[in-house]
Formats: sequence, C-alpha cells, structure tokens
Amino acid sequence: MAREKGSVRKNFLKGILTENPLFVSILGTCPALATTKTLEAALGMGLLFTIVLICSNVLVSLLRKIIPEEIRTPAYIVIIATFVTMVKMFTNAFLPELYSTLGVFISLIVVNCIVLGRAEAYASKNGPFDSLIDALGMGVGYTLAIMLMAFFRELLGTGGFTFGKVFTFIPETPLIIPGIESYTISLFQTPVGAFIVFAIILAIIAFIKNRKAELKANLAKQEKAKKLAEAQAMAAKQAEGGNK
Amino acid sequence: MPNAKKYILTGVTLGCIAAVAAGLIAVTNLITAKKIAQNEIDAVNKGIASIFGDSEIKNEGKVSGHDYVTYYYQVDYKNSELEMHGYAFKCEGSNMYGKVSLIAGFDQKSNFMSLYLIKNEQTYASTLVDKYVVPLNDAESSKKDEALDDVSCGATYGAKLVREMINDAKAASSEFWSK
Amino acid sequence: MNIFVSFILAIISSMLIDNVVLSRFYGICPFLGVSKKVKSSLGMGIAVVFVIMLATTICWPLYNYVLVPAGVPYLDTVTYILVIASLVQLVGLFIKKYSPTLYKSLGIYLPLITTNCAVLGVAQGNTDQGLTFLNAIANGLGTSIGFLLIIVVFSSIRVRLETSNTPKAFKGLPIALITAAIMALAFMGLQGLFSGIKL
Repeated sequence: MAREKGSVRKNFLKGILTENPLFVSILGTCPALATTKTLEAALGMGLLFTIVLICSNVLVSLLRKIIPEEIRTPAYIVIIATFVTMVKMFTNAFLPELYSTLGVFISLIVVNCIVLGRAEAYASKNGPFDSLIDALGMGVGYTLAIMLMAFFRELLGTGGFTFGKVFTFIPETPLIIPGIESYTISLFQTPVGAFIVFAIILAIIAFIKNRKAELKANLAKQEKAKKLAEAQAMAAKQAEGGNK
Repeated sequence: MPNAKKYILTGVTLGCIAAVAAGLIAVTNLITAKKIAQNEIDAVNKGIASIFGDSEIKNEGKVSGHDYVTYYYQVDYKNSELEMHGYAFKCEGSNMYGKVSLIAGFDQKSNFMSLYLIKNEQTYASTLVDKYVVPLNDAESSKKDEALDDVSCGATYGAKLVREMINDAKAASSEFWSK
Repeated sequence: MNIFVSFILAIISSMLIDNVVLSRFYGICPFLGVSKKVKSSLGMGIAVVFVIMLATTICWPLYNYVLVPAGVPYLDTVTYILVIASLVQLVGLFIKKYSPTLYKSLGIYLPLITTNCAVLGVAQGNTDQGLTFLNAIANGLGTSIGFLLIIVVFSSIRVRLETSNTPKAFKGLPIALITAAIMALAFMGLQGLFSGIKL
C-alpha cells in the first residue's frame, strides 16, 4: 500500500505536539493530577497507559469490520477493560511497588477519555498499522506531558528527584539538587500544587499560541498594507501617465 | 425476520468478545497468581527479618477467632549471640481510608518489639508512616506502650487501626505463649 | 450508636475532608468542562449522585456474592464498567422520559458520566479496600454529594470569572484551574477536623 512520505512520522508526532491529549485536548486529567507526585510514578503511569492504548487501538482496528454499529461502545469498553485488567495483574505480579503507588488509578485507565476516544475516533476507521502509530504517538505524548507536570511538582516540592522507589530494580538514588533544599515549597506535593502547575503550563501554552497568532496577524496586516501601498502607487502612476 | 437476525448477530458478537475477554483474563491470572503469592511470602520474610534481625521461621499457621490477626509465625532469632524465641503475627484490616496489613513481632515475654508494614493503602499513607509507625518502632521498650497510645498524628484513623491491630496481636501472643 | 456515628463521619470525610474532586482527583474532566450555568451543573450533579448510589448498591453485592464465590475476583473491573455503562443508559432514558428539558440541557454530559472517574473509582475502591456494605454506601454517598457540592460551587464561580478581567493567557481553563487550586487550599484546612473525636 503506497503511503505518503512522512505521513507515518506526522501521525506519530501529532500525538506529541499538535494534538497532545493532555495539554491540547484536555483529556485524561484525573491521572495527570493524581499520579504526578513523583517523576517515577508518572513515568510508570504513562508506560502502563501507553501499553493499554496500543493494545486496545490495534485490537479495535483489527475488529472494526466485525463489530456491529449498535454495540460499538460497549464492545470497545469490554476490550479496553480486558487489557486494563491484564496490565493490572502483570503490574501486581512484577512491579508491586508501582501497583501500590498508583492504586485505583490503574483501573481508572478504563474510563480515561483518551483511550475510548482514540478507539472511537481513529481505530474504528483506520488500519492496524496506522492505529498502532497513532496510539504510540498519543501514549508518548501523554507520558511526556505528565512527566513534565511531575518534574515541576517533585522538583519544587522536594528539591530534587528520588529514583528507585517505584522501579525497585534501580537502587534508591535521591538526586537532591544542592542549594534548593531550603527553598522547597512542599505545597507542590499537595493537590493545590497539582492544579497550579497544570494551570501555569496551560497558560504558557496559551501565551505562546496567542503570540504566534498575533505575529501572524501582524504579518498579514503588514502584507495587506504593503499591497495597498503598491496598488495606490500604481494607480497614482497610471493617473500621471494618463495626464501627460 | 431480519430484525431478529440482527439482534442475534449482535448478541453473539458481544458474547464472543466477552468470552474471549474472560478467557484472556483467566490466562493472565494463571500466569500471575503464583508470582503474586510469592511476592506476599517475600514481603513476610522481609518483614520478619527487619523486626528480628538474624532469624529463622520455625513454624507458621493460620489463626482464627481474631478480628485482625490471620497468621502466626514462630521465629527463632539471635540477639547478640543469645538464642531467643519470638512470635510474629500477620494482621490485616481496613477502615474507611483504606487497607493496612502488617507484621507485628513479640518477644518471649509477649512484649511488643516492632512492626513492619506490608501494605499501607491509607489515604495519608506517608503521614502514618512518618509520624506514627517510625516513632513507634524507634521507641525504647519501656516507652512502647506510650508511643502505641499516642495516635494523634495527622493520620489518626490509620494510627487507631494500627493500634487496634497491635493490641489484637498482643492478645494472640499471650494465648500462644501460654500454650 | 458507634456504627451510625462512623457512617456519618465517613460521609462527611468523603465530602469535605478528603474531598472527592479536590483531594482525590476523581471527576476532574466534568469538573473542568462544567457548564457555566448553575442550573445545568446542579442537574448533572444530581444525575451523578443517582448513578454512583445505584452503582455502589449493585456492584458491592455483585462482587462479594457472585464474583468472589465463583473464584473470579479479577473480573471486577470489566463487570463494574459494564454495569455503569448500562446504568447510565437507563438513567438517560429515565431523564428523557420525565424531564426532556433537563435531558436537552445535559446534552453530551450524560453519556460522559460513564467515563467519570468518580463512578468507577468509588465502585472499584469499595471492593479494593474490602469495605463493609455500610461503609461502601457511606463512601458512595459522601463521594457523590461531595462531587455535587463542588461542581455547583465551581460553576457559580465560573459565572463570575466569565465577566472578569483576566490576563489573556489565563482566560478560560488556566484561571479556572487556579480557582480550583484556591478551593483545594481552603478544603485542605479541613484536615484533622475529627482527630480529637474518641470513637
């Protein structure tokens, strides 16, 4: 099947930048606020989320011609719930610290709007490979987004990072940044801090977008003014030429 | 009737998906159940080692008739070259804030030694650990009862639950030693 | 007496101290996207209360008397979400019949109750924590009333925010989040409210 050059890359990148599920579509905010206390927990959550998203997207895409229209939503929900239960059991067995850190939010991946949304909006209409790339992009985008939030929450709240608490095969390595320790604002580890970090990141994104739009509008205005001036100059020239 | 056929097809498809889903999950359960049980055993061993130090489990078994205590472990341990005997009890329970499961260790005189949290799913889990469990474990043996009773710590309901579990285990311990 | 008191305390703690939205982070999506009209957010909150209470009373016995004896406790998530999805459909039909205006004003938010973290979170949390039936009901009641309380308060604040002079970058969602942060700060002050009570 002939594919547009770079369309796969575009499909993948859109999940990270232009259609980032957390910062652009504002979906999946519950785990984003609740599991971002530490960088490791956010990474773990993002990983599990990506696995579920990939599996469900691919399976829904493979079955898209078989599932009848009326029971689409319940069928997708059953598929997603199955993968979430499997991921939950594997996590409980092989990464028990991650399981107890994330708690009920692993089960809540089932009702994460992103998973159901991508299944309905994309996987039900595209082939398995495209759905895989889409899921990969969205998953990586979401993981990076929540890691960004956790980065600030943990850095500002505890003055550094601690690795090894959740992924216990890494020895526990606190990475305290010297000098900041006496200036930590432990508020960021509380729910209040989660809201504030989210708000500031969204505000920065909105600011950048507004700036871009402003610059573009200015540029367009300048172009228009230039064209108007040119047209006037030409009209003036013609009038002169006509006078002669 | 075409309508009936559509309904039957819908029902069968949904049924198939549900059956495959249940099957997948059952298979996953088979694979992971053993590992999960093994994790529990490892946690208990780790707990007993952290309470008693250099130790060996001589006997273990179920306990019935108690609110929180579920298992007992008869432990032989070394305390600066002396061979001692002790008992450890696994307690499980929950309150409105979540589940707690722990191992409480008692020495020959049924004195409470220390506890090890296996599962701490309370909402204020870290407060419970930092402000109640750690001071309790670190307290000197004469001050243990005092530290046990002092439950106002910011995670009061969790601390109360832990205290009840330890008291229950104390009662079990005197039962066992009197045998 | 003890049971009654702890029941009331459980409700109040889910409602205020450990508030479902501002502390446990359930139900953020509808919380942020809630309409700026107090009346429709009230309607949506009541629908959520309904769904959560029905879900709790159905899912707890389902888990403890059907799934566990059958040896398949791990099928809980799949079962709960199917129960919740069907409940939402039923509640939707119910509302459509008895109050078409409410149905129209709820619009897309009604099917979205299925993906509300609070509903599945409460149902799953009740059985994960091994709560008794009474405690599960208290948890459900407290969570749903807490959710109702928060979205009504929040939507009335947002009505004012619409007409105020916020910096351009903060317009819309960011300033709403800062408001939520301040609310969370206020509710954080309720912690330790009951630490002196002897139970």
